Amino acid sequence: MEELLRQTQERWFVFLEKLEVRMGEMCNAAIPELKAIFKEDQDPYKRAHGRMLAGLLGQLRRMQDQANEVKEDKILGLIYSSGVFTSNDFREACFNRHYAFEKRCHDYTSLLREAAGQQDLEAFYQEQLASFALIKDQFTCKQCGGKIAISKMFFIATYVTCLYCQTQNTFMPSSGAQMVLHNARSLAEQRTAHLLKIYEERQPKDPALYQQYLRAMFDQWNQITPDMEEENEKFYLRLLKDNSINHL
Amino acid sequence: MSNNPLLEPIHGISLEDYSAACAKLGSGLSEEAIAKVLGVELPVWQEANLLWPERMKQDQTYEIMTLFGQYFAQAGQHPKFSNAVNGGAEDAGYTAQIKADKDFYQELEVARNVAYEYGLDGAQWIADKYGITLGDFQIAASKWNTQIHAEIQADFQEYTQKQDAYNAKYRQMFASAQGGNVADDITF
Repeated sequence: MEELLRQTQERWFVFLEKLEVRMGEMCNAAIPELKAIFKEDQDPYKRAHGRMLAGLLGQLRRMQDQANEVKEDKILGLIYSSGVFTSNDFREACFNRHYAFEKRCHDYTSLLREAAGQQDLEAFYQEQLASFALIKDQFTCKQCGGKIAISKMFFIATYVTCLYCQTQNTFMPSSGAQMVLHNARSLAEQRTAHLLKIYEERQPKDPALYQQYLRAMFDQWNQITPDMEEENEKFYLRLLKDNSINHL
Repeated sequence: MSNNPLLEPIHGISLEDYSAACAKLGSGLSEEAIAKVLGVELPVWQEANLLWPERMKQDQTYEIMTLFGQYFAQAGQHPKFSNAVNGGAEDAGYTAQIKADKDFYQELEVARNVAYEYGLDGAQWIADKYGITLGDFQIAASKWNTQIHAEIQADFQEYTQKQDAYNAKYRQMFASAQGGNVADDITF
């Protein structure tokens, strides 16, 4: 029995090590690709990057499945079949090795998820502001051809009235401007991430710090999309209320 | 009838209208076509489209979200939209099947998720292979979710066995199509 346990443990260790080596090879080869795809992908939702990442994470999960199946069959199977004859050393060594393998999977998962970094929403927003500055005086009335100055950045189709003939025109924002609305909260969160970090790192949790973060985040959000301020503030009050309940 | 003031229509667009419109957007109807069916101009639709999600965010009771799901699942019966897509034709083929056959929906839901795990666009895979649009898939999801949830509560083991079988089937299928998994050659 001792010899069987020794051999099984050795094979288990070798098996997991091989999986870890393969995992390392796959991730190390993929990370530069992930970064490049994220950078080059013109799709604002970065779907090509998302699909590649999902595929890699799927392969990591398959390796975890492989390890779990072998653990169930060969390690637990041996423990159950030999009953009291299995030493605690065998059990502990095999479980600890599997724990280390799982931790490695977790680390590689984080590495892949974080490889591309965050989308620079600030740069995108500034680009859209600059683009808007260029086109805001180029809109003309469909009826009389008079110039219509667009007073501010609109994010959805909006009626604008011609000052000369009072005709109602429809201003269609660019797809970039529409994305500003879509990204507004994320950009506000990026701008105030340092305040959230302070709240998250403080132990015990301090509700005042969360409120400070939330107010700052909504101030930024309102600054990016001023037309949404009224609605945003209603949402802010709801989050504040939810948060006070959670901190009771 | 609920007294929730957040359920008041926005520019004449009710929650039923909005939910059906979202379902049809998912099936490929354009925003311009949606606005036309609802009898409003594009800016009016877009503002309603902006404000209904805001109402959902404000609603602590989740009533709007719940009703949205119900109306979304019944989008095919919405009087304004029933004739707007496919000239009012009934669902056919797999699109009809996924709305009538819960097991078929559950299998395709697993297939879609496994496709994503193999780096594919799962929703697109369903559309290509079965001709089921994202909107119709979501309508089926809204229709079956409550029943599936009840079945999980009643018999969790049976549910997981079925899911495991679907997972195994599609993992094998997608892996074979890609020449296997990265570590298939590593054995105990």
